[in-house]
Amino acid sequence: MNASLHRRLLVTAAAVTLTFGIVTALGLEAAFRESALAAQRDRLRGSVHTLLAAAEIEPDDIRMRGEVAAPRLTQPGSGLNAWVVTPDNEIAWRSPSAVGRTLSPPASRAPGAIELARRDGHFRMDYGVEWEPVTGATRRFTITVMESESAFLSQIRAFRQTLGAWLGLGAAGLRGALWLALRWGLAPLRRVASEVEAIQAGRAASIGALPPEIAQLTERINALARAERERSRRYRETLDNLAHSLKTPLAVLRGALPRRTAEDLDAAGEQLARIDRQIEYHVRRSGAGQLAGGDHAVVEPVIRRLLRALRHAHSERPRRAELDCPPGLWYAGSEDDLMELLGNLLDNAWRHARGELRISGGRCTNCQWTTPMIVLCIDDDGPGIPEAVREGCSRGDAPGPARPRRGDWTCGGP
Amino acid sequence: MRVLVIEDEAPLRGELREALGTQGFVVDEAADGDEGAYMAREYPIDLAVVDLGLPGTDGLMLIRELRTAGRDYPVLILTARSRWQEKVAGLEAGADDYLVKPFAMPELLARVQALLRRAGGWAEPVLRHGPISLDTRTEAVTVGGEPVTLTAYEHRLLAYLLHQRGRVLSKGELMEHLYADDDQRDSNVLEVFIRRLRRKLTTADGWQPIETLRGRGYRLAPPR
Repeated sequence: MNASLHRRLLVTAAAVTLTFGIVTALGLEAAFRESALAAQRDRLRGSVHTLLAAAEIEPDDIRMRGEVAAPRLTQPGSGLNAWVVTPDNEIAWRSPSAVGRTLSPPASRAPGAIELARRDGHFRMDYGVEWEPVTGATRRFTITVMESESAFLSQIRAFRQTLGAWLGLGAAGLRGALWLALRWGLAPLRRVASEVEAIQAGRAASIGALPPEIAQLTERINALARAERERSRRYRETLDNLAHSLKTPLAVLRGALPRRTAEDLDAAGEQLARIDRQIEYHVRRSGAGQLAGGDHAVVEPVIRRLLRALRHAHSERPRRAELDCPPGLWYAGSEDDLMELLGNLLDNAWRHARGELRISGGRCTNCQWTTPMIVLCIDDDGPGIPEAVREGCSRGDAPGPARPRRGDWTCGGP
Repeated sequence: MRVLVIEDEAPLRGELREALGTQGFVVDEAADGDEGAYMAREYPIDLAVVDLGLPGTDGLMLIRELRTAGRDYPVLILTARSRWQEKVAGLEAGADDYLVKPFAMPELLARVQALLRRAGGWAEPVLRHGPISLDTRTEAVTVGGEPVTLTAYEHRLLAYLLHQRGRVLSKGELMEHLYADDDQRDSNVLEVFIRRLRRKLTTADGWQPIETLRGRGYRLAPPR
């Protein structure tokens, strides 16, 4: 399937943007999570130090002096709980928030050991302490602080939402910017297409200057068009020269036909006429379908030239010719071809008209073709072509003399 | 009438000379554009048949030159290229008609006659002057409806007088237009032809068609 360049680039850009967005989101979330975990650890350690600062260590008792600095440790259900555990894994003290809660399992740690774990929806820090009083024996115990991870999780959730919203907005903006950039970036390619269409339609001879990336392509297209036009010109010129070189000997032969019987003369003359018609036919065919290549002819001046020429050549047959043709009407082909097309039609109309010709032209407004077409009508007041042979005339195989009749001779051309 | 044929193909040029000669025309020939241009300007030509594809000065240039030089006799162009661009270019250059090769000689002769009639102001193929009529198609001459037999030179003389009716034609002009260059021209012989023609064309009531203007030349007399 040949998807358009624009769509391909957009799909690729969208996939890259999405991948980039996901990777970025994952990376940012991981970084945020690390940061949040570090903060959590620091908060737990801070709680431990607060407890140590408030602790009164007796040989057989451990108490906390006055109000504990962390208010949440005094509020049951606050989510922050603390215990002091003896080396025998006995609970020596629990914070007021931990009333009714069990520490499971109680964990005694060696002095200086700090262990942070995440378990059962809680963060838990076990901090091993060796207490040396001024007087008395050294005591060992472990302070355990536990905090619910719900705050941590909601923090992560909030971050994720915010990140998602901003990345989504950024992706949408990026996609829009990419669409515009692609549209602008691919404009030269669209121009190539429209300029090639103009060459085909005869409105231009070559593609104009384009960005360096496609200049090579357009130069080759221009070279191809030039070569095609040159080849067609040489071909037509060669055939013209061939026709010219054959026609004079034909004229000589015709005049030099041996004067035998009238039948012989007719047969030879007919063959010479056939040779002549074949030459004409193939020369005309050689000119058909050529790359217009920027050639176009304005219709009205060509018709006026032909009418002047006919008026001069047929001065013994004066005619009134009325021309109704928009000044800007143009034909996508050479003036030579247009003159050839109209010359025979106008000549016939002039010869067979009684006194008047009407020629009109315009753009075809309800044509079935996608390329703009013109319509030219040549109307004379002569006796016309009999109905029976009209169809044959338009196919070019009408028998006998073709006499035009009053009515339109219509031709459409690009 | 004097016709100049400018055609580089010798066989075709020969055929044109022969065909025009049998029609009573005096024919001058040129094989290339340069010679043809000279003759077209300098010779007393009544009509030129010019091939467009000439060596040297090409046909279109030749026609433009002779029109610029004020020579306004009819020109019939012969062309192998039947495209309208060439025909229109020829007519715009100053030609009066065109014929595409290969052509039938009768058609060329008919067109030559038509061009000469047009140049003489004649709309019909039958030239009439009073009781005299000359059919350019059949070369038949009648006076008052009665056929008259003329010799070739008498016919040429009458045709020229009819084409130039209203003008006084000097002996020199008549001899130039009725005789080829290499013919022996004798004004006395011309006078003999004038007399013979006058006798054959005089009507029963004594009207004589050819006037003599002493010291100036001859003219067709106004019809009664």
